[in-house]
Amino acid sequence: MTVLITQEYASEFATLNSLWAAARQRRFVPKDVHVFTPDATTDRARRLVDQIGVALQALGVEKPVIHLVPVKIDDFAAIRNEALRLIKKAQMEARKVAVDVTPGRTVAKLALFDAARSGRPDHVFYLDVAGYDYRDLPYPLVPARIQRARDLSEEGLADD
Amino acid sequence: MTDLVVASHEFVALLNALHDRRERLVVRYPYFNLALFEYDPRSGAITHGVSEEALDAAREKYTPAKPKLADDQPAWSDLRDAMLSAGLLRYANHDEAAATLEREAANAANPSNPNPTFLAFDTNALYNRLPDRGLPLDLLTGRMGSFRYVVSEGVLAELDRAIADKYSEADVTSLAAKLHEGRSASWLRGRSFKKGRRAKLGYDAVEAFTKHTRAMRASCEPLATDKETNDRLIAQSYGAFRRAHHADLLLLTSDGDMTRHAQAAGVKSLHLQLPRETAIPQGFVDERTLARFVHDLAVAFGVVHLSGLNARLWGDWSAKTPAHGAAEMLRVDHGGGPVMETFARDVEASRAILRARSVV
Repeated sequence: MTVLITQEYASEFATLNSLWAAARQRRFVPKDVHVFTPDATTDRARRLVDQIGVALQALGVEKPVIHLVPVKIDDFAAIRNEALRLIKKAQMEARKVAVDVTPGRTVAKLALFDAARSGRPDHVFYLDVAGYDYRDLPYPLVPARIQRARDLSEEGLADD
Repeated sequence: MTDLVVASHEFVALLNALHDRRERLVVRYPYFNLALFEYDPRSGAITHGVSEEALDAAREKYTPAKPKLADDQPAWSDLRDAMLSAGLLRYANHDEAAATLEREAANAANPSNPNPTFLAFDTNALYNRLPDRGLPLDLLTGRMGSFRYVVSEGVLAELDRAIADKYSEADVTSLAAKLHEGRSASWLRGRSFKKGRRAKLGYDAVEAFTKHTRAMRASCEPLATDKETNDRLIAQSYGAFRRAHHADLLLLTSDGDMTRHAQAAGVKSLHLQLPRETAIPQGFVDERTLARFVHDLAVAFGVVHLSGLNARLWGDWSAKTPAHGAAEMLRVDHGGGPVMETFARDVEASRAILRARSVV
């Protein structure tokens, strides 16, 4: 069972589209998704869970498991430690694990990235999108030509 | 066959499904057995665009003798207009026209000018989606905001009149005997002729820009049966409107004769010269423009096929509503396969995600 660690952001498409791109372009289809969020009780957070569920079902995952992980969004250490704990847990259970550093505020993204450097997950995804013409649309409605799912673990991250 | 109804912007999902499999989009007109163009979603480039000469030759081969049906067969002007309305081509004098509009907009915004300035549209400008897609300046904001807008009731009557005709049983029989893949012409029964399909596009343009600009209507005498008389009546309706509102008025038209009728009616006009291309241009086209082109082509031609995908795109179908037209929707019939199934699934998921967004 594949695991993805990601974040909620102002636009849900940063989270959704990066997940979708990793599945389509990198063949990493998560069945278990941990979404770091400043508040798991908001309508926005619950809606994101539903939307990730729709995307994963379109990608062929019948019963995706999506967890909201409440964090203080500017607490670097807490986010890093929680992400590292989830990476280690997945590795202990012999599950493929990826961290997505596309969505989120900068401190939280850096915390996830730092956790990835320490924990060495199987993949560290980042979605590169050229231009701003297709904002606020789900991945299938944005040209694949301008969306590039990068796996930073293949770009020297593991060499340190 | 499975069918789905998709908006032109959702067509990007089909290009993406092709992109992921390193396949190309190949668009054909089945009734002339003619490939119209290819598109590579990985490079974003059109290749193998059909020429005017090749389209004319195919048209001659497959056109039925009955004049009404002969007129209805897709011609180069339909293809050119679809390229123009989609933004694949620009008017031949685009830059000059843009400069004129800029000057008029500056004049309209000048506080010392006591008269409001109206932009008015000829029927051909609506067919080419000029007000809602093709104006060289931003229609709703910036300097274009200093214009006001008016549409003649004569233009609307002309569009309305064109929508009346539908294919009869006898028409379908004649077409089936002459067209390539004629057996499938039975699909056309009860659907609109080309003039009607294109007129609906024109109506969509009126609806779209009227909604955003609160365009006024200029009353017009009842139309006659011949085009030249009607052009004069439309020009006169704009002339009467201008005088009644003590306004400046600029009529946008791509018909050279209309500019003379306008002059006779005391109305200024801007002649937008039709592009002179004789083949679909090769090279980069962004996905939105391509999706609009495919939509407008399917409307003008009635149907296009996607080679290798066992899919037909219909620009007109029996249950098509004005809402479908306004949303630039096409009906897609297909026989399954990985690309079409991915496309259908992705469109459905995208709609569910966007719906969830609008609920909260």
